[in-house]
Amino acid sequence: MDHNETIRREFTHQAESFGKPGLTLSSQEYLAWMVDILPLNPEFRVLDVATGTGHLSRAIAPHVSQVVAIDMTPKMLEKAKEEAAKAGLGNIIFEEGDAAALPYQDNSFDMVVSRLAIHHFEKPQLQLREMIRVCKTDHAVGIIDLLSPSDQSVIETYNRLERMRDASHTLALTKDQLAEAMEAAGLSISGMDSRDIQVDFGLWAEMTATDPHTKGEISKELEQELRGGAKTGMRPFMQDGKLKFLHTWCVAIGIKK
Amino acid sequence: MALDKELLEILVCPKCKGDLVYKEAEYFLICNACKLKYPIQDDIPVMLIDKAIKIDKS
Repeated sequence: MDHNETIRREFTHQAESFGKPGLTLSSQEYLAWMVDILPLNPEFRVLDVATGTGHLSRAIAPHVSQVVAIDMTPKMLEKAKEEAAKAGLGNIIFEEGDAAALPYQDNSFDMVVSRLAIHHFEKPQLQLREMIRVCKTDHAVGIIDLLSPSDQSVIETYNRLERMRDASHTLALTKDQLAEAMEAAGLSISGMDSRDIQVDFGLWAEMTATDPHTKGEISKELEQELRGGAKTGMRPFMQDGKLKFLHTWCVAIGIKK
Repeated sequence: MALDKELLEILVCPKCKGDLVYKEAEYFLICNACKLKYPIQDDIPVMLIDKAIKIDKS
């Protein structure tokens, strides 16, 4: 199956669960952290690439003139549009499109952002170059994504477990790799801020509707690590009787040269 | 609802990055160079090359 089809398939059945309470992706605390770091301006027209159900677009919209939110999964956009209307935000425009072939003229946006998308792309250089192309010179491209652990010995296991849960996961980059990829695509890194995010294992697997057998296989590896077994890179722990683990999220800002 | 005028100014064909013609009554954005029609569904332009409709040459 073509990877774009895998993305559409995965996100079509994830669309409804994206708004569920307790998920890290909809956490207002983390969204506030991102909005705080992004150099937003009330005059700006911002492009949100691979918006999903539009969490970041809605967080940004009150701080800018207009947000253009693009995604390749119709079901996600349907939900995003519904949520924007519910929030009374009239300055978000939605479009169905591919991050690797953006339908905009060069230098069209005052800022381009993309959240939790890079790790779904097979060749993120393609999407990064497109984001940079449509951004104005001397303006910012903000990439927010999951990071792989920097410990080389667990990178493969970490990404394998993420792929078991969600087939559209390709590869999360390490912090250095993300910076290198952004620089190679034509950005000058102006800031990177990362933080560890606690994730509830049950909710995480539920969000992607991961089948019970696979969910069991993943949890088995995390539980083995808890008992002193091989490291997975997921950094599992128990809290209130629940299996949890840590993700590292990064907000990286690059300026178009 | 009509498409945002300012957005129409920056929208291009995702394939050739050339100008599009907006056929408001037909709910299509047309790239004459690529001979492709991009549909507008529920006010959302569908700017995907694989979902665009080929225009007959005849």
